[in-house]
Amino acid sequence: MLGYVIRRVCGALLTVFVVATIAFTLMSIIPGDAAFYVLGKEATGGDITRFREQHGLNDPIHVRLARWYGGLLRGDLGESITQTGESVVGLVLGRLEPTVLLATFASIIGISMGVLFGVLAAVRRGKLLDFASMILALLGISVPGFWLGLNLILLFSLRLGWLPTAGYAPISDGFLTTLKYLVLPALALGFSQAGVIARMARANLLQVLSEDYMTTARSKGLREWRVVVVHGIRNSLIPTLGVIGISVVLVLGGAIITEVVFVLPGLGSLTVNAIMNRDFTLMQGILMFVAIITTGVNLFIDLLYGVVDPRIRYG
Amino acid sequence: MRLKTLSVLASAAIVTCVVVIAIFASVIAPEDPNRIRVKDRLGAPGDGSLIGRDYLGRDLWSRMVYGSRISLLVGASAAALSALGGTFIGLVGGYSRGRVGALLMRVVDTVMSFPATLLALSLMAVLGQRVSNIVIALSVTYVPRIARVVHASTLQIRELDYVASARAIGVGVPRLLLRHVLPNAVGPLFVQTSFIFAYAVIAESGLSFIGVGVPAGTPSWGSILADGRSYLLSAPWIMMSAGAAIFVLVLSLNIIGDALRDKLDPRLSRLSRNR
Repeated sequence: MLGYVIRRVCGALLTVFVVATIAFTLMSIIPGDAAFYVLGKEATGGDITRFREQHGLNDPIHVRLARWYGGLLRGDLGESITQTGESVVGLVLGRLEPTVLLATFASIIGISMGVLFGVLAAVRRGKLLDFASMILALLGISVPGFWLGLNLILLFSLRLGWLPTAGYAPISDGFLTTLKYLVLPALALGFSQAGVIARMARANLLQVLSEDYMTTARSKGLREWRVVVVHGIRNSLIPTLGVIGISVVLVLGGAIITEVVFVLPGLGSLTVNAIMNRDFTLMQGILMFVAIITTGVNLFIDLLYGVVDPRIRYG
Repeated sequence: MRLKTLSVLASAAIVTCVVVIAIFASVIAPEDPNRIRVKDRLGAPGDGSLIGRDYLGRDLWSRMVYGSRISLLVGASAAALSALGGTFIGLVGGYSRGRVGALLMRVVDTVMSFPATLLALSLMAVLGQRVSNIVIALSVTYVPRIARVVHASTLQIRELDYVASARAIGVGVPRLLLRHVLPNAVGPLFVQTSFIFAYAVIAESGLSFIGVGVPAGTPSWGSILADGRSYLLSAPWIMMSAGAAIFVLVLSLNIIGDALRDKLDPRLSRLSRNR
């Protein structure tokens, strides 16, 4: 098991290193001069020189890359180039709460609905329930989350007046107040997750249900529910674990647009602002931060796989 | 006729309709999509225009018709480009199992660990707002998905006897990959490409919706949806028409993708035969 853990941790570190290099390269190949983009057309030559010196843009690329790696090791993602004096880590952490809560609620909705509908569909294969679940899943993967969000606002906020249209209340104002602001965004985001997860869960369980040991379980005279729950779902949950990793990646991506729809002051709106203001260091930092989160989650799931399935550990 | 066959036929008809509308946009659109008629702003459907007018009095139907060009162009181009790039990486990565293959697949896995929207957004920030740049950004984002599928197929196919025989009679690697390995990996590749078409349509409208996709003023379903956002109560037809168009096109593409998968993916079609 130790060898497996070491291999996985090294793999994750390597991924973070590759991401760091990609993020740095991406933001360094911007056509033209970053200083010019940030300061605009009215900037004088002096302004541009000062800006370049202040942000170390005159240094050769390998020096900047080394500085970027060094900063990463110290947990420093640099300074925002449009909000002078603000550290990228500080800005990101300041916007973390709404995104983490939105991602958590959306994942809860997505995973629970997805696994439930996927399992029901597989167990009742070819029946009405299978058909209905898979239609729902198809709608989930096809409906744009931002359009669903606007429809939810129109119905539940503007027409019925049950929930706020947009905005956010921090958790320090009380959990229920925060929840009111997050119900609709989480539903909009979670529904498409549910679609993806339901299709995967169904396929995984169908695969397991067609295995020989399921026939053996039935021929032993076990009741059908026991065959499905104990032998089927349990084994199909192993590949479904990977779904959680995929779900985190999907939720973080979807959160960007959902936050714009619901005007949530999270990481997504920070990203969009960074792009609009051409704040490349902030953009680079956000990329890095999100990559570390997703790599961490995937590493955790890989390790969990090792615990749940001995074949992976010793394979 | 079975319901499934019917839904596939209906989807194919819808996609064909959108393609025809996009090709003949200049003939079908009754007005210039950017013609401003302030006195008719937020005009309701039927009131001098088919599906209403937006906040500048522009004819919504004309904008939708021209917007279909962007959705199809971006969707199809991103799907084709990522299929091309992904096939190359997947074939090379799967066939050369040494360091080159390992490095290629490590990069692919790393890119895949990024949320697609975030990666596409970052690339748009670097490249700038142009339709061609949306295609590049989305292609880079989706290349890994194709690469993974082709890589998995290549790993299996390279071990088959006929590939070993071809190698033994001295067939060169490029010819071996293109003539012997690729044709057998085409099924899953085709299926994945059809899904990427659908993802790319949603992604383009998402990027345009938040204002980093098509340049300002260009009619795209995502930008029309963004225009309708401030008029949910007073002019819901703006948001409804654009959103419904994206939804129906993506749904149709997904139904076609599912049908292709059932037809071309041997493992899944075996499962459905077991029904």
